[in-house]
Amino acid sequence: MSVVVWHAYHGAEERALQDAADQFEKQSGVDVQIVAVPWGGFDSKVETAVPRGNGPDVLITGHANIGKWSKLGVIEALTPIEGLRPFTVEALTYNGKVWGEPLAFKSPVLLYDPAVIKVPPRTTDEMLALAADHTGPGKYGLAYEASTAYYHGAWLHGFGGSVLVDGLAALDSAPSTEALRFVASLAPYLPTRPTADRVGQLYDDGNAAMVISGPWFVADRTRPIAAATLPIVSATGQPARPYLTVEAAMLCPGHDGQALAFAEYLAGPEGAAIRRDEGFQAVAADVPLTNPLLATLAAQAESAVPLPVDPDVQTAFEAENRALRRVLRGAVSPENAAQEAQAYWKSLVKPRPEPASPLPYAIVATFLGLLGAGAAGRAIGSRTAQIRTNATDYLWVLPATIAVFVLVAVPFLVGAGVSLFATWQGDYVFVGLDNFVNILTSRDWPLTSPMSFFYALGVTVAWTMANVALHVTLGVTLALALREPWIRLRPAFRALLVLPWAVPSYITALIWRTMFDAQYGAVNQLLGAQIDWFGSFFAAFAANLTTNTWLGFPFMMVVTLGALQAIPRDLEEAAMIDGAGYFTRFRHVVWPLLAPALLPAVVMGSVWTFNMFIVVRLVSDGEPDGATELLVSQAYKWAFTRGNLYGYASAYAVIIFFVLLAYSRVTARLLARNKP
Amino acid sequence: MARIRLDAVQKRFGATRVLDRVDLDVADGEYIVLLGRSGCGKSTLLRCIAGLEEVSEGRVHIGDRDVTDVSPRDRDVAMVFQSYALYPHMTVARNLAFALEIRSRPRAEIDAAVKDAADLLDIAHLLDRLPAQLSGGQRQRVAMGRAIVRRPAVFLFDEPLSNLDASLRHHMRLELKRLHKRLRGTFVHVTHDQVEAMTLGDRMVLLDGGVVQQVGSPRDVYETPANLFVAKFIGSPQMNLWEAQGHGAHTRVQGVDVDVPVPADGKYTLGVRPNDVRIEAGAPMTAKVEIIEALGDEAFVHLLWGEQRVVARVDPRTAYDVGEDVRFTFGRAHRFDTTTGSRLP
Ligand SMILES: Nc1ncnc2c1ncn2[C@@H]1O[C@H](COP(=O)(O)OP(=O)(O)O)[C@@H](O)[C@H]1O
Ligand SMILES: [Mg+2]
Repeated sequence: MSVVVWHAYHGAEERALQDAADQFEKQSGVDVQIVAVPWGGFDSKVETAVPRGNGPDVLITGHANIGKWSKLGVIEALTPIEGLRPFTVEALTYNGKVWGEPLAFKSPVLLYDPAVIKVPPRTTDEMLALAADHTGPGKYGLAYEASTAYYHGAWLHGFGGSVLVDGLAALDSAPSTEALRFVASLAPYLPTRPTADRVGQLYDDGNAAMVISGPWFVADRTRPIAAATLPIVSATGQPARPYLTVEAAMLCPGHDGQALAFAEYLAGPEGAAIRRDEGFQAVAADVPLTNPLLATLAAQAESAVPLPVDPDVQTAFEAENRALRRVLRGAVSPENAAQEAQAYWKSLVKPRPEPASPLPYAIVATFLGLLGAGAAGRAIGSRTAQIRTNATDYLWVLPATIAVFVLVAVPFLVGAGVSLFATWQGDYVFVGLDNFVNILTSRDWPLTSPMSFFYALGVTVAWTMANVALHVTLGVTLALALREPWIRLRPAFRALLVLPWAVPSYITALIWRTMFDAQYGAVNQLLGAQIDWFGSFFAAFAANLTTNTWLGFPFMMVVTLGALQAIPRDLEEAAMIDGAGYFTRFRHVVWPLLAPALLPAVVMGSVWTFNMFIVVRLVSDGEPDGATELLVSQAYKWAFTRGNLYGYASAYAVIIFFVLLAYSRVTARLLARNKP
Repeated sequence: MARIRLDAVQKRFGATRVLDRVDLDVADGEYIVLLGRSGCGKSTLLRCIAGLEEVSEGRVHIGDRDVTDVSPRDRDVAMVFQSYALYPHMTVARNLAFALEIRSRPRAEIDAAVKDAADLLDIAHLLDRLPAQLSGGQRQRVAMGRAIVRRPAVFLFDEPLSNLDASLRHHMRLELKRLHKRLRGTFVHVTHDQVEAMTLGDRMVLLDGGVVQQVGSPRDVYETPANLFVAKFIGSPQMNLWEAQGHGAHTRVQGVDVDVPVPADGKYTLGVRPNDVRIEAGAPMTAKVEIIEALGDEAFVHLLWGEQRVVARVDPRTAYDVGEDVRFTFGRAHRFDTTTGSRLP
């Protein structure tokens, strides 16, 4: 028997965990297997593996999921050991029970460059003054992921607010508004919309005097860095109170008998000492934390607020993120942003849906099923002789048929089935066609809101047309140019121009995203401009369009090169002698012969573009505020970032399917007409 | 006014020289035929006149203008391609009208010109069809129609008849001749078929390996071939050729004294057309009949003359037996330098 442990640590923390496990093995003779699971997939892996009995014995992760996981039965309650800091045990308590052995705690703190800042600010006024002093061209007084609700928590709580009050969002409360106003006053000293990596790079390049981040940030730095607790909010006299995460060893149901012993060893003084000294963790065990960073974390923990375990917090965070983005962009006043955020949250959090009676649906489904079965039966019946003579042929295609059925038909049917349900706090409620009615009548939003189906449809159609027009124009132009005899090194150019197609598209999308960065992006540097590419609809749309055109033109170019080969050169020569110049020749001779050959490519390209998820997700990610979202990415957001409305998202997917089905019927007719 | 003049025109594709110092002067209204084997550079020469190829060296003049650097559309030429190159997506009417339409001529003028051309070529009933709905001969007519609708000064034809079957080809030859009379333009016609060249051309140009071998009227070229190449190329069956040794008034071919009316010394190549081999009793030379080729209104006998072969044109009504000995003599004979191939006086 052995104890299997899943964790998402890396670097020093992972080594410390392994060392502690080795020590435990030596002392107890129990075999411990430490398995690293990528951080990004940790939660979903746990949620799928554990209920099927494929999970580990012990999970090491933050406390934020205990609400959901205790409900799902993914973890078991336990009695924690003695000698732990009380707040860590508290963070792991839910419904009166403790759901893991607390191991370590983490929160954002104020990090600063000791070479520049001699005395860290004690109040927010001091911090603002310091930030102002250290902001200049390319330099920022303060850098942090300001547009995320997670980091914003420090100010929100410092002003006396809270995201959830009694399970309901309080995004428009007076403290919330004040906190937003405060962030607006920070905006001049902050980089625009930075990612964690960007903040780190700014610091390493000496371009950020102060940073708000956690111990994970310190571990990756190449330059000296100092830590202090976050400042006192001058307006209220209260300390800034960041979100606190407590990492714990949690037990999964059916765990090995020795799992608890291992968790207790890890949390206890001996395991804690190893983790503190080798992994630089602020450990939950009540042992001294003398390292300056750990001491700061301990001091910060006194004011920190544990991340809420209520699953609903995700939706409130989504609304708060939006408010932060809009305030930092200067799009709305903090007051309006606060009110919008609250309204947005309300629209996301739906009341428990009224279940619909499945009876009429069952009748219709049965009827359709019988009809289908009858038709299939008749089709087979009328061809029995043929089927019998060709039995081996059918046998040959059977594997492919099964594969198509399993990989295409089954997921489609399951998805279509899910679209008839509403998901509400993890439960599925049968609502029939209500999701469709809701989407197609735009019940929750005005038609012109970026959240409405028709807005997204409009954007998607405009996106598809603009892209295809650009891909064809660029592809055809380049293909024609590559034919010209005066272009030297044609094969080299041809290879070069196909390159954007050969590079995996997500890499290309990420590169373009970086290039469109407002402050460091190559695009702005080339243009000598300061355009906030994701701050307005047209700029963000243009950024997406540019990226996707880069990805899409080589296909059209290659198709055009092929099609041009099929146009005899002497037709053009005849036109030349007839007196046609280059453009007349193109318009009257080349294009009419090229267009029919391009049509199938245009049809395919438009379907790909219509569903071009990667570019939108990785470049604009729907910014500003969902305005550049396509139907597919909208469906994704509903499923994964706006409260897991799987039914609603599936309904979106089904509608997309029917839109494209209609489109393909029309184009199939067009193509058929085009056949000579 | 469309005289065509080529001055030392050279054309190279990379390192390969396709035309080598071609000089040519075509009179206004002349029908000239470029004749040569496939790959000898005929099309290239035509395309240089049209402006579809830039010459590597030399000058091209059409009319009074030096058009060497003028684009095809400003040379006032029309061309019929070997493939016809009809615009497949346009009706016959639009194919004919295209050149005028892009020059924004008035509609009435275009319609009249299309009608004239269609009537002239007897394709008025095809105007609404697409090229794909036409037979080969009809396409050929449309291609010619497209050339004449604009009434250019120069007409260029690149093997216009080679994709037609034999009877249609004969018919279209006459048509071309008629057309030339009617239009009085300068015609340049490329072909590899000597019959076409002989029947159509006012003059013909023989090309080989990108070099002009001879320019002259069909009669000239037939009767006084400038060199061995021309002698072999023109005339069917080919001219008889032998190595000969001259001693003053005597000429010996494989040990036989041959009666050639031109005195010469040394080695040379003797040529006699089958027409000029006369079979008659009492003639000085003897040969054995090997094959008889009867073609209805003419006949050829192939004779074995020692080691050599002799072809003679004979009256088809005279009967010969294979293996029979006949006596023969030469009428007109040609002499060529064996090493350089050029004609000797
Ligand atoms: N674009 C070209 N590039 C290279 N070689 C060419 C090109 N066009 C023609 N040639 C060569 O030039 C020679 C003459 O071609 P062409 O004028 O078409 O001959 P013809 O019409 O007498 O059959 C041929 O050997 C051909 O291979
Ligand atoms: Mg040719």
